[in-house]
Amino acid sequence: MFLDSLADRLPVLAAYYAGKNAAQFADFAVSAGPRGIYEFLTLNKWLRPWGGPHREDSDMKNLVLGRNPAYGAIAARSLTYIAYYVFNVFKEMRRKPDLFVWHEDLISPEIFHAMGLVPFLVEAIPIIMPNINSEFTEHYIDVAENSGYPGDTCTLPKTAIGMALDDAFPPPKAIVTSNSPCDGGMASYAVMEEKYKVPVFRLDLPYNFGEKRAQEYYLREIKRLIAWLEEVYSVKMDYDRLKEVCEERNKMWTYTMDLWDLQRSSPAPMGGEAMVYGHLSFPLGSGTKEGTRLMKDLLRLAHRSVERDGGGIKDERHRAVLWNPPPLVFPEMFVWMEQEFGAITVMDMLTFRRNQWIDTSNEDVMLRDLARTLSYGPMAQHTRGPCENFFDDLFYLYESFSADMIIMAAHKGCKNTGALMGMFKELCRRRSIPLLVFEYDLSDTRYMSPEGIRRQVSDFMENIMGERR
Amino acid sequence: MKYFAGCDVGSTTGKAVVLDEGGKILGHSMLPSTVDPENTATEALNRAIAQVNGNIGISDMERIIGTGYGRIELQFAHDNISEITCHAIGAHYLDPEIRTVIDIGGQDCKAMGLRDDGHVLDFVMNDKCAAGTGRFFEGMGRAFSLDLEEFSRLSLESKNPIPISSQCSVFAESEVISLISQRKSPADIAAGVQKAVAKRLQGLVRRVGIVEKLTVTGGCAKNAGLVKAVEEGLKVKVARLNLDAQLVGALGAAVLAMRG
Repeated sequence: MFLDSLADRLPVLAAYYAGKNAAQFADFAVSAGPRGIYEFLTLNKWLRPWGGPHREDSDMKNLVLGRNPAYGAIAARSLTYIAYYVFNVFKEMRRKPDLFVWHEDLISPEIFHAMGLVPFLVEAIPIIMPNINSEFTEHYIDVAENSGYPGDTCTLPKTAIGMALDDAFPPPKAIVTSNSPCDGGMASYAVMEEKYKVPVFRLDLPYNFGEKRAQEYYLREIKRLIAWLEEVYSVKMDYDRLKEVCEERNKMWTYTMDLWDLQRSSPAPMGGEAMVYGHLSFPLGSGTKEGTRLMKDLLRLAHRSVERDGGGIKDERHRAVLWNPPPLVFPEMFVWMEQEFGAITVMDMLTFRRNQWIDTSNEDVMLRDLARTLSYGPMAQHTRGPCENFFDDLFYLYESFSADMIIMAAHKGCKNTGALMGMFKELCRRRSIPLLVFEYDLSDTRYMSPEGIRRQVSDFMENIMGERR
Repeated sequence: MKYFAGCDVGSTTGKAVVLDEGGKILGHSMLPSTVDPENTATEALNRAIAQVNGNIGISDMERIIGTGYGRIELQFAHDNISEITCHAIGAHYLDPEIRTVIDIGGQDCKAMGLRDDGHVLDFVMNDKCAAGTGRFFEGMGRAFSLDLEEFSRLSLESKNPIPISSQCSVFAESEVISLISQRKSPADIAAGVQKAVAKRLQGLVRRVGIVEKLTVTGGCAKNAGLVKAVEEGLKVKVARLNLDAQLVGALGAAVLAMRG
């Protein structure tokens, strides 16, 4: 309660979370010792030189301070979770180096946790880095391109490749990846396999995964993965432990559903990058107590936002649904839109997921449902099925969250959604849905600067949504 | 009598339109832009006001709206509105059946889809590349030693347009110079240039959807050869407006000023 009252004072709140992050680092430092800290900072060069946000136009503090108190707390809490994840992975990795496993962003970590492994989401660092330090991201993109990786593919896997080639990752013992979401992502793991020369497992998510035959196939794939992990790591799957993990995930999912219900209210309690980063807890830590605690906290703060603050922002005039990932090089885009145009992004593609409940009554059913949660996860279901998966979800969110506009982030490297853009524009036009398509690159300001994004958004808000500058 | 004004400060020219409370155009003007947008707008507005009967000045305007690149700088304007909205409103005011507008200005071009009430439904713009803008035609005119009007007339004489492969203004100029030196027909080269730009505009306008009636505004709308190439490329008749197409943005601003 004391902390809750402090949260009314945003600078205090920001200091509280900054202190919490510092405490997390201190905890890591104590367990890692001087050598561990040295190794951590050697690998994470992008954190070292400045010790904080470095983008020239960065206004990261506004993510917390520019919003109503509870919404600011949600943003800070989400970021603190990500910091926790990074420190915790490095801590656990040092403790159990033989059980360290890399996994790709569309594979959630329940199976690894149930087997006592230490999962590391490879794309986590390339997701976090551009938010803080786009110069280093661009350096790694150049490393990848100079090694022959194509210039027009997604810069997220490209950053991961550059980091791998530059020895900026803790080396894996084995890698688990999949055929999703895109060819660029798949190709990146071929580079990593070549670089690290470790066993790699590729989970094969079938097309039209809603069909019974495809689901049975995918269940066999999950079983094949478990057998492979047992062999590579010489550990056995503990199904009692898996049940506990899945039940923990169900708790997290319950909080999430409640949060989304609240999110349908107008004014909305939260949104923007805070929503996206909060839900990163699914690929980072679903089935863990810390993941559940995060969603519980977000729900509690969202209630406070609605009941005490009268919503996340002062004057909600527009509600947007965002498709494609937000610009990692410009997370402040959302708080800027909130302040400038009263436009809050109430739901987005990376947050939204379907069919996530896991029946834990027996092993087979549990594995089947686990397979289903992966199939229906963000991006996975939009890149492995007919285009209706993409359109239906987007229009469902638009209706269900009472949005009055759709934002299509036209990421240069995303060929999958790029191919659907024309059809999608046509469908929006037929439904008279205002659609903002803005060009950007996820991780590279050289293609589109934050100022360029601002200009595109401003033009849309002014000319289509009737806002004045 | 109440007066309303719109000032469109573009990259190449400054324009002003004055309306009365019934929406009748009382005066308009156009002059080359200077480095100071406010001076350009003030001069343009004073010239438009001078056409109005009675001894009135800027301070007698009930409401003034600025638009165009320099709009933010206009201290005397009561509000400023994007040129995208102003061109849409202006074109729709002149012809309420207009649903698609292509605005080709000095340094950018835009395509807009309109709602039935004239407000913008969707738009796309090219503001990164000079190809397909007034600057591009300036370069082409330079290569032929002709002004825009002469260049346009020349292109209309063509029987067999020569395809121009370079759409970049720099490379297209080199290509045109090389064709001239090969003694190819100047009319055919000029028509080829018009066709190349029209193709680029087609790509732009298809992204917002081609819904008739369609019109072309901005300075380049005066380029009859280009308008003809657009019509042929899109297979759509371009609606001609009963006002200088370069004034449409300023008119839209004045209409919005009048509507409050």
